[in-house]
Amino acid sequence: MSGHDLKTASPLQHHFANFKQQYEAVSLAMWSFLITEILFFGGVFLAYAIYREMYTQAFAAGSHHLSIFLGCLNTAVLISSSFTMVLAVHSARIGKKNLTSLYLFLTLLLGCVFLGVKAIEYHDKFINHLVPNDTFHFHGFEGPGIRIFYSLYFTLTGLHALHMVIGAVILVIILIQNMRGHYTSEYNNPIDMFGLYWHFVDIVWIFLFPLLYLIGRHA
Amino acid sequence: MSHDSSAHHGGIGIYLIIFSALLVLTAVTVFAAFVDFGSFNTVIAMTIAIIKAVLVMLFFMHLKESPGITKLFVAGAFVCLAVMIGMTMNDFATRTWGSKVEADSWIKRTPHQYIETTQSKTPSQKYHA
Repeated sequence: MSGHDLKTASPLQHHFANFKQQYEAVSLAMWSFLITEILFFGGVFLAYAIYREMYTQAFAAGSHHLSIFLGCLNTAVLISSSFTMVLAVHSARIGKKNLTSLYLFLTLLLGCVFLGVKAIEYHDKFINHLVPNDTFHFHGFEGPGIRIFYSLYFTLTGLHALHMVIGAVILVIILIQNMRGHYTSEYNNPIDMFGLYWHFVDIVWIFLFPLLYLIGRHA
Repeated sequence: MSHDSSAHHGGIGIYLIIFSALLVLTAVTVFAAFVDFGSFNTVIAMTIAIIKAVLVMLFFMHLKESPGITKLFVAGAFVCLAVMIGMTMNDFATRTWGSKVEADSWIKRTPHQYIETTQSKTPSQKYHA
């Protein structure tokens, strides 16, 4: 949008006294959304906890097939993307538009690297018959638990990856809007709120990584 | 960098410290997974994950400098999550307490024994055996 539009339509909504109040209201709303997300993922984590209690050995055997190197790499990539995201929010708050664009771009790049590594991992599961469908077959462990482990693996990482894809799309939009000069040091709520979402997705992975990749490694 | 915003919203320094802490904790959790702590392996892994999550929320998500109402919302969410997981697992772990067939309960069996029974009995027979 042009500068003319920005002058006529103030980013401060008329029902808020000032930018600080608007920021606090928007941020509380974003947290409310994230709370529904926490409980949504919590349900799948609970299913994981129960089945892992029932099939402890099967879960350990299934976990051993996952690449600990790729898991570690993706954890580092995602933590780095959270770091560049918080720097983007910081730069936006002090009004450094170009620096914000750079950090948003780096965040997007790291997010794509994460999804690329995830695609490599999924490809490995597909060619090794580890997708829980008719051709599912796991070498070295028999029983129903191993299939449940891979079902939960695909549910948890799939939901997480879906959040990453949605996040990447929103990130592209925010990056374009920032380059067009939509955000100032006064008003940058969309960048800030997207940051909350991105960090939430990072937190989900922080729990997924040890629960899926690191079971029974000492045995 | 304006003095006010760096004081109010945390500076690059603190973000760098948290970023390093998160990477170090990731390394710690991987190394801890290869050491045998018995049943404490899961406890250690989850404790480290919770520490990482709290660091991300307090500093990257700026919860530390958020208003009290936001902190209350988030705390409430985790109480609900704890009730959901805690109560369910509590039920799951104590379901066979006081039962005469405790020795036969599926929760006490190894997965191999469990698989044998699931192949020979229907789920309802298993619970009421």
